[in-house]
Amino acid sequence: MSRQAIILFLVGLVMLGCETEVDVFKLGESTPVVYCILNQDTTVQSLRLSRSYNSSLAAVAPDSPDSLLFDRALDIVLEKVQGSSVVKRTFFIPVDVKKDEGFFPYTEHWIYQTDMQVLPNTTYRLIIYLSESEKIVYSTCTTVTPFDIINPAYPEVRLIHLQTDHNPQFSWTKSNNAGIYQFGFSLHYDEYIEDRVTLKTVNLFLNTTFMLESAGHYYTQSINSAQFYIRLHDLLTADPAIIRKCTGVDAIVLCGGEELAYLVRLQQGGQTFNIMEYSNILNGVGVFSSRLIRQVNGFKLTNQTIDSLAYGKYTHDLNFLDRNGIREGGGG
Amino acid sequence: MKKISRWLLALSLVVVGLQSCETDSLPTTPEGIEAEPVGTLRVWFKISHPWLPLDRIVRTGLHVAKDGMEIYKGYYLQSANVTDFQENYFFYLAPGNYYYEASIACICGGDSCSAGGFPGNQFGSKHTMGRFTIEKDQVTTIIPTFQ
Repeated sequence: MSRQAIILFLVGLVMLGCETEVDVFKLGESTPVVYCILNQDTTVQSLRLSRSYNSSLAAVAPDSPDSLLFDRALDIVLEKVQGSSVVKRTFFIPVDVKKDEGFFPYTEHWIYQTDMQVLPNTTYRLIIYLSESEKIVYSTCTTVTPFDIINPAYPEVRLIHLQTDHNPQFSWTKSNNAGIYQFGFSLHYDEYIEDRVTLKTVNLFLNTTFMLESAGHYYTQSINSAQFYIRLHDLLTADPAIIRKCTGVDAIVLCGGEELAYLVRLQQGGQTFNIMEYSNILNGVGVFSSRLIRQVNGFKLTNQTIDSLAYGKYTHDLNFLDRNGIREGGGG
Repeated sequence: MKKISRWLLALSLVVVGLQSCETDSLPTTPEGIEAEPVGTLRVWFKISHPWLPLDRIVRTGLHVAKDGMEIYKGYYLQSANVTDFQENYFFYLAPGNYYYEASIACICGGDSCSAGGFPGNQFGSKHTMGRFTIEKDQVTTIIPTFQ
C-alpha cells in the first residue's frame, strides 16, 4: 500500500513538474515609435511619437484605437551637446495637426514641436520620458554640414532645358554626416481660374541618391527629363477650367543625415514590413536625424520646355500656356 | 488497316510536336524597316578670352536649328544644358545642313566685363552662330569662337 502511495506521489510530482503555464492573453508591452528629422533651415523642430505592440508577446489588441498615441503631457527634451555637457535644452509641446484624408486607426492626431535653431555639424540629443512605464527613450545625432549647389548655376543667364535629348545635370559639394540626397525643381506657375490669378509652387524631387562613402570635391547626377513631366502630371489636377502659366523654376538639393539614408534605403528595397529593422532610437524604434535644403532660385525654362509643358503627352491636359502665351485650340 | 491507323497516329503526334516547338520569334531581317541614319555633332565649347580671367566667363547656351531663321526665332531642334564642368557637347542628328548658336556671359563685377569687350557690365553676353553639315555615321566637330 505504501509502495503504491509512493508511486502515485512520484507520478503526481512528475506531472506537476511538466506543467507549463501558457498565458494566451498576456498584455503586450508597447514600443515607442519616434520620428524626428531636425530641420536646419528653420527654428521649428517637429517630432512624431506613437507606439506599436509587439505581436510576438501574444498581445491582445489595444482596447481603444487612440492607445496608439501616448499621453500629450510627456516630457520630450531636445538638447544641444558640446563635449560632455548640455549647452541648450528645449521642451517639445503637443500641437494638433490636420490629418490627410484616408483611413487612420485613431481619431485625434498631434505632433510635438519645439523652437530651436539647429546648427550644422553639432550633436543633439533627444530624450523622451514615458512616466507610465518609467522608460526613457533616447537618441543622439550629429547634424549635416552645409553644402552648395554648383550646377545648375547662374540663373541670370542660363535656362533649364528639360528634354530627354539633353537631360539636366546637378552638381553639389559634399555635406559631412549626410547619406542621402534628393534633387529636382520647384516649379512656379500662375493659375488662372476665370478672372482670378493665384501664384503657386509645386516641388518635384526627381532623383534620390545615397552617398555614404566619402567622395571627391563634388557629386554629379543627372535627372531624366521625362520624369519631370510625369511627376507634374501626377501632382497637379487636370481641370479644363484651370489655365496655368509657368513663370520659372528653382533648382533644389535636399540632403539628409546618415540615419535617414539607412531608413529610406530599406524602404526603397521594397521591404515595407521591415522598415523598423533600422532604428537609432534606444528603448524604441524610429529615426532621429537631420536635413538641410539648398536651392538656386530664378531659372527660366527654354521655349521647347514650355511648349512641352503645354502640348507634351504627359502634361497637355494641365492647360499650361505655350511660349507665345496661348494654347492652340483655345485658352490663353 | 490497323497499321495505317498506327502510322496516322504517329504522324499526327509528330505534327503536334513540331507545332509546339514553333516560337513566335521576330524575323531577323525585317523588310521595309530601316534605322534612321544619324551622324554626330561634337561641339568643343572651349572658353577663351584675351583680357578676362577664364573662370569669370561662363557658357550660357548651345542650340541647334534647321536654318538661320529658326535660330533667330528661337525654334531650336535641340538644346544643351551647358555647365562649367563640361567642354564637349554631343548632338545626334539626321544627315543634312544645320545651324548652331552658342553664347557665353561675363560674370565679373564692376566694369570689368565692358572693359574686357563684353557688351554691358555683369552678365553681358556674346553670341556666335554657324552652319555645319551632318553626314551619316560621321562626327562633325565645331569649335565656337567669339569676337
